Amino acid sequence: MSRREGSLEDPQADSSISPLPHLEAKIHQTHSLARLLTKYAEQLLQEYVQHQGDPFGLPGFSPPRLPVAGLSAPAPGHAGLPAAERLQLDAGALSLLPPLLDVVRRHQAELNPRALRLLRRLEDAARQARALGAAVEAVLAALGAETRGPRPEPAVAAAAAAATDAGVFPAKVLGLRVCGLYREWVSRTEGDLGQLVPGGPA
Amino acid sequence: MALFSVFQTTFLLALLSLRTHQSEVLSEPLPWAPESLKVSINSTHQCLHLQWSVHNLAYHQELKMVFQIEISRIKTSNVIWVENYSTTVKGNQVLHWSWESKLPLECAKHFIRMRSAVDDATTPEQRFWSNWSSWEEVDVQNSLGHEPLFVFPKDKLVEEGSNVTICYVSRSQQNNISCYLEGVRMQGQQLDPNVSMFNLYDVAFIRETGTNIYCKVDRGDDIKGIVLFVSKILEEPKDFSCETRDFQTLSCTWDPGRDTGLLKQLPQSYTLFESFSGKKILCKHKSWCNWQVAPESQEMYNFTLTAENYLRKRSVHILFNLAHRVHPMAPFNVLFNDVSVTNATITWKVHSTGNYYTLLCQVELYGEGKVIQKHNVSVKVNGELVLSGLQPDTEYSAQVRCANANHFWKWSEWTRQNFTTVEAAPSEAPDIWRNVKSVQGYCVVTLFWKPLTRLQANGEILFYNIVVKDLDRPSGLQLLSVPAPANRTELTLDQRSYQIHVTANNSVGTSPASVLVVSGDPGDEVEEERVKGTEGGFSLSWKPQLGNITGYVVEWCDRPRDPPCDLQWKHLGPNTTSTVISSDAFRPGVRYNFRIYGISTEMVPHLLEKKTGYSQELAPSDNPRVVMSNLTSHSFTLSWKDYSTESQPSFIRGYHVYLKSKAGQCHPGSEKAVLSDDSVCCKYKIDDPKQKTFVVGNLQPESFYEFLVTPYSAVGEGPHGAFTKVTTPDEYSPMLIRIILPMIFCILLIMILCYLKSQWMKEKCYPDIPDPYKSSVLSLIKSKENPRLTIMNIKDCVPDTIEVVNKHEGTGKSPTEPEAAKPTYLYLLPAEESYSGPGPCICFENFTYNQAASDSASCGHVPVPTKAPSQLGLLTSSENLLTALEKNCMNSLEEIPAGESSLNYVSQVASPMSGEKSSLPTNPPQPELCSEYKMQMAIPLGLAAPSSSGSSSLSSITLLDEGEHYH
Repeated sequence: MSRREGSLEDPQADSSISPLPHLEAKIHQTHSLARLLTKYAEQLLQEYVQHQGDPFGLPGFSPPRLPVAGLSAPAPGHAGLPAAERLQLDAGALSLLPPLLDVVRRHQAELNPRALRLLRRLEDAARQARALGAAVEAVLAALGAETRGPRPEPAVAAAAAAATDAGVFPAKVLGLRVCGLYREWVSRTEGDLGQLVPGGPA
Repeated sequence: MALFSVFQTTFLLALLSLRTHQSEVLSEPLPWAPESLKVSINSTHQCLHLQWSVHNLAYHQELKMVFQIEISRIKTSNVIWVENYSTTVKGNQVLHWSWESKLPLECAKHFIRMRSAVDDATTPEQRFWSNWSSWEEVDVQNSLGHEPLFVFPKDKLVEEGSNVTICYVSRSQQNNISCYLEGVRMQGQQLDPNVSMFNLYDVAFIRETGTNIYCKVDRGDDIKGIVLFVSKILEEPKDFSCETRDFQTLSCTWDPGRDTGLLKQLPQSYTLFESFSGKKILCKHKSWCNWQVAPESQEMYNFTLTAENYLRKRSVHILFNLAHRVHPMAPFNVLFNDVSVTNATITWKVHSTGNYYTLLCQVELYGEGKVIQKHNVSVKVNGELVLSGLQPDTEYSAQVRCANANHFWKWSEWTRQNFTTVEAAPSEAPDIWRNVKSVQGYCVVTLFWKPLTRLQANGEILFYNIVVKDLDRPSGLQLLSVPAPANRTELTLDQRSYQIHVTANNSVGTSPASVLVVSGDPGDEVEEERVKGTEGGFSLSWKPQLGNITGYVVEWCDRPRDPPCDLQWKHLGPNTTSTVISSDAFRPGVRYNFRIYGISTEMVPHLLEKKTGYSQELAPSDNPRVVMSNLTSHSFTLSWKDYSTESQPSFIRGYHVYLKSKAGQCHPGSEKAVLSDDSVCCKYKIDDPKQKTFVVGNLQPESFYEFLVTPYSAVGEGPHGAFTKVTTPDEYSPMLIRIILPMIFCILLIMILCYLKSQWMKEKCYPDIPDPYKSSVLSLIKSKENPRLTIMNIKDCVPDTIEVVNKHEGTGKSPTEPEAAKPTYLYLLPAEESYSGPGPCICFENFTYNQAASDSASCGHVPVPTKAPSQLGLLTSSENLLTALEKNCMNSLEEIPAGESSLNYVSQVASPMSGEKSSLPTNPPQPELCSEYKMQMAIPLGLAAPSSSGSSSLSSITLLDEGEHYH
């Protein structure tokens, strides 16, 4: 039986042929997920801002873009890094985001218990960030790159919760920052994966 | 002078000594002065808490004291608050006092001091203030940390309408700081170089997530903010009440009022406190709470409902006797027993509320959706009530509810049940009427009846029984049963009188009978009167009838234009002479005919009056179809005989004839009228609706006219539709026609007569073929009585030669045939034996006897003496001739009329034509007899005609005796 016809053979037995289509499919799939989540992240941010009231919805309102529990926005030099390194940064950020989103959701549940759609979006975002992070980790593994272990979620959550204790207004700003970070990192991940997709931007 | 100086010095010294003593006394602490004053702060509530004790107060001693407290802000001299705090102080007691600051404590330093005084009747000598304590300074800013900017108070919770003061504290004086409320910049008041305060007045609720206030350094990105939670004011609970349904649980309900808007930040609680028992419960729900009734039969209850949140507390009270707040549960087991035609018994049960209470129960009986009976019944456990006055075969609904009979509080819910009474025989006779038509000597009676109402029927009507009794033959009965829901039947009766009984039947019995007599006598015809209808109907009146009248009947059709005209009738009493007939079916523009009958005691109806009218007259909707006739140069006649005035939407009063002409002049009898299209015409008015012809006169010859005939009634005239065009003829045409036509007829008659005369003359005087026997000359000869002169008989001639002339038609000639016909001579040899004619013969040569009769396919024959058959037999020897004979000689000699024979007579002595001599036989037979005459004979052209197949144009045939053959 020829190799082409063989369906009983282990597809991973011949590493020279099988992994490439598999990797492409995985990259493509992860990229599609990231693109979808980018749209959701934008919707989440709009919904969040709408419920906090002014000045959060005003265009001139720009609180300092400080790191949240050690998570910063993608650096300007992020695009210049090697692909594997970029994906490692993406995966790391995505692993930090779910506990932060959970903290924001809990705070909003206290502050705004009737905003059910916002609460659902925050819950979904935390779950989707985990899923995207895991998918990026899988791509990294398929690429043979080293994956960083995720930071312990409780530590991140504790750091974020401490920020919310400073007051309601800082907690609102924290939520805005977390939602913004989520959007930026998901969008960044989409861009980084897009460069790996065959036919995508170089 | 010196004495004065000494006195002055002594006075001053004494005064100084007194002042010194006084100061010594004051500097000593009073026995009950405040001491150990400590100040703490609560930033969340912006409160200063003071605690102190009283100096030298004995352990067992109680003293009523007043403490005066002074609070200064920023500096001690800026006193912002002074308050006297009175309390009873025990020995060694630590006293507390709090003060809430409007300005956040972090915004400025505060200084506090106090002094005391005894306000007790037992120690009146101590009624003066102690010394002030030293100022206690409160400065929170030192403990804020090192951040560059702070905003206070943090996340304050206030009610709507409150005034709020906020401030920021900056660590740097160079920073230019702006503060915003919901994105709108606020104007503040600077307390010191690093601190500014902002007063917000009458704050309003904006959203559940609070009002955002933040400050930012203009040249930096540091932002600090707070959220001001503004709550709507907690309202007092409304409609607080408690009741019991089972004497075990008190159910208390209230209306909590509007939401405060802050569910999580400002939760509110409701507590229920009963003062007699001293019990208190926290309600789980915001609008109701259940309280367990005490088993020891507590009668009175005094409840206090308290609504409370962080900012406000509201309470309401009720005091009641438990027995007065009983809300019974709905009755159950509602049943109907002994349901009859008009009665039914309803029974029900109530839930036990103890044997000490009587319930008042209310029973409502519904019929056709309305309450028809209402009863109140006192009940302990079981209720029972007889419902009477019911209608047979009727569905009813009854419902029961109960309440405390002694102290009404609330009705229970209704419990409803349906039942139907039993059927009974119909109580009323059906309302009947008839329509009689005479058909071929018989009376066709259509009998109508109205269905009984539900109250009359007492059940479902199953059929109607009809009994027809011949009044002339009492034994003649006819029975008929018509199943419901039919409302008519048809009977065919003869011209005698019949009495008809109609009864309605249900499953229980039969109704009383309705009786009507039908007679073959149509009665006298009465004249129709017009009646004017209104929207409410037709008001009819009639003359009262003398004699035995049992009533009147008015009859009409609801739809007179439709074939089943929906006959309606109305029975009226004998004393009634007017009525109003109204019907929803009446339509404007429809003529309704009413007949008023009087009913005799024998139940025989007699037609009294006929009325006709419209509920509302409408203008005629169409114009008659007009036929124009008798058109002359000066007039024409219009007629519309087939126009029915009966079927019009109003009473036609006449007609208008409109005539348009170019001249535009109207003759007497007409008037000018302007139509809707502004055209002007002449209008003739016909006032008689029966006049359906009109002669339009006074017209001009050869003129164009247009006319229109339209009916008119009291409400208007018909539509001005299309006009009919007509042009009058010129004046002389009719006269010319009257003269010329007879002239032409006369001329034609004369011509015919002349022609006939000329034919007669020709026949008599110069016929085309003279007949000697008919010739008038013969009579002349005879008249001269010359017997020697006679007419030659053809039998006397002996033919010797037959000239056969081939005559060819111009068309159909073969190109091979010769151009001209050439005669063929048949030489007939004289045969003595066969010659039987007279000896001498006279032959006439008549060249005209060569008719072109061959044009027709008639047949000829050779008139030969006696042996003609044999001679024909000779002829048949030629194939061509034979063929020709077969084709043409179909008739015998006797069958051919004389006129149809075509014969060529050839003179026997005539020399052949010059052109044909050479073709003649070289030895032509020489005639032996009658050499001076040429025998004439006739031969059918068919024989002489050449064969269609023959090519020869010239042949010689010799007629021989028998046995001789043709060469």
